[in-house]
Amino acid sequence: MKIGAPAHLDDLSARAIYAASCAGLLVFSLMFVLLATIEGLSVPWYDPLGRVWHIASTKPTPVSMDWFGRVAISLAFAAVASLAVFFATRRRALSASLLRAASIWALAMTLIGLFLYAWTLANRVILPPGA
Amino acid sequence: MGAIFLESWAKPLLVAHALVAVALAGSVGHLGFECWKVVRGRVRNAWLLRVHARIGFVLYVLQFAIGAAAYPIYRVRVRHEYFDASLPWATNLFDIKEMYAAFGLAAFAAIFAMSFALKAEDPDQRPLSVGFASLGLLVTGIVFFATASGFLLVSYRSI
Repeated sequence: MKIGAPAHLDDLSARAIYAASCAGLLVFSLMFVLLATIEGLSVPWYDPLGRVWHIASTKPTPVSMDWFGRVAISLAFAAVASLAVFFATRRRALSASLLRAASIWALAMTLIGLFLYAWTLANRVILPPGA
Repeated sequence: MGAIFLESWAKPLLVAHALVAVALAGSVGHLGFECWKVVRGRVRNAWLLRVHARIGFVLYVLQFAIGAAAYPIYRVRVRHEYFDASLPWATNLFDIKEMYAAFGLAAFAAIFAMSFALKAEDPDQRPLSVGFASLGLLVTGIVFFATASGFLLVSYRSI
């Protein structure tokens, strides 16, 4: 297949892929925000010095990283949501207005997530190690 | 072998990260330009739109993987040993960049999939093309921000 080949899918499948793409992005952004804002939630942490994983609600060691775990969980939820929406909609004719609304919701949730992270991190006070 | 995963490969990873960043910025620059035209009401070149939605995504995944591989080294050798104590604003900027990169991965995956579904040349699909193009502009912004902030941070301390 040529890299820039136009879409050859039938209209139902094409619209289902569009809806699934929006659902995946929406769910990813939602999960990525929720995993950072729900207090007391246990997530996977990677300790780069010990090269071990922990499931914990607070940072197990000073250099532990929760980014990998939160990205993986959010991607998994997004993949499930995308597949569910694709198989649920591939035999129904989704209207253009519904698909447009889906893209707006996905974009809006992502922008909210970007803003929340930027606001939180820009105002975070970092204490020097050992303080 | 270093104590941290892939630490002995830190410099090659960093150089690869920089090289892919330049290629990715070039690809999404084209994508962003075509998306801007779509949002403004004209599909200038639908072929370029598809090409850069697809090539850009492959480059983004590659860049994301290299960044993830180097991240533990940065976390200990740069952030813990230097940024947290001396440049806390740099720690915060890096974390914003990494969070944005994660959102960008999901957004680019959506654009990539949409590029196989959307017929941007078809005027009847204009509402869907605008949704696609809006996400394209978002991804372009994320990539340019991540690239600029990444080069800035490396100028202070690198892995």
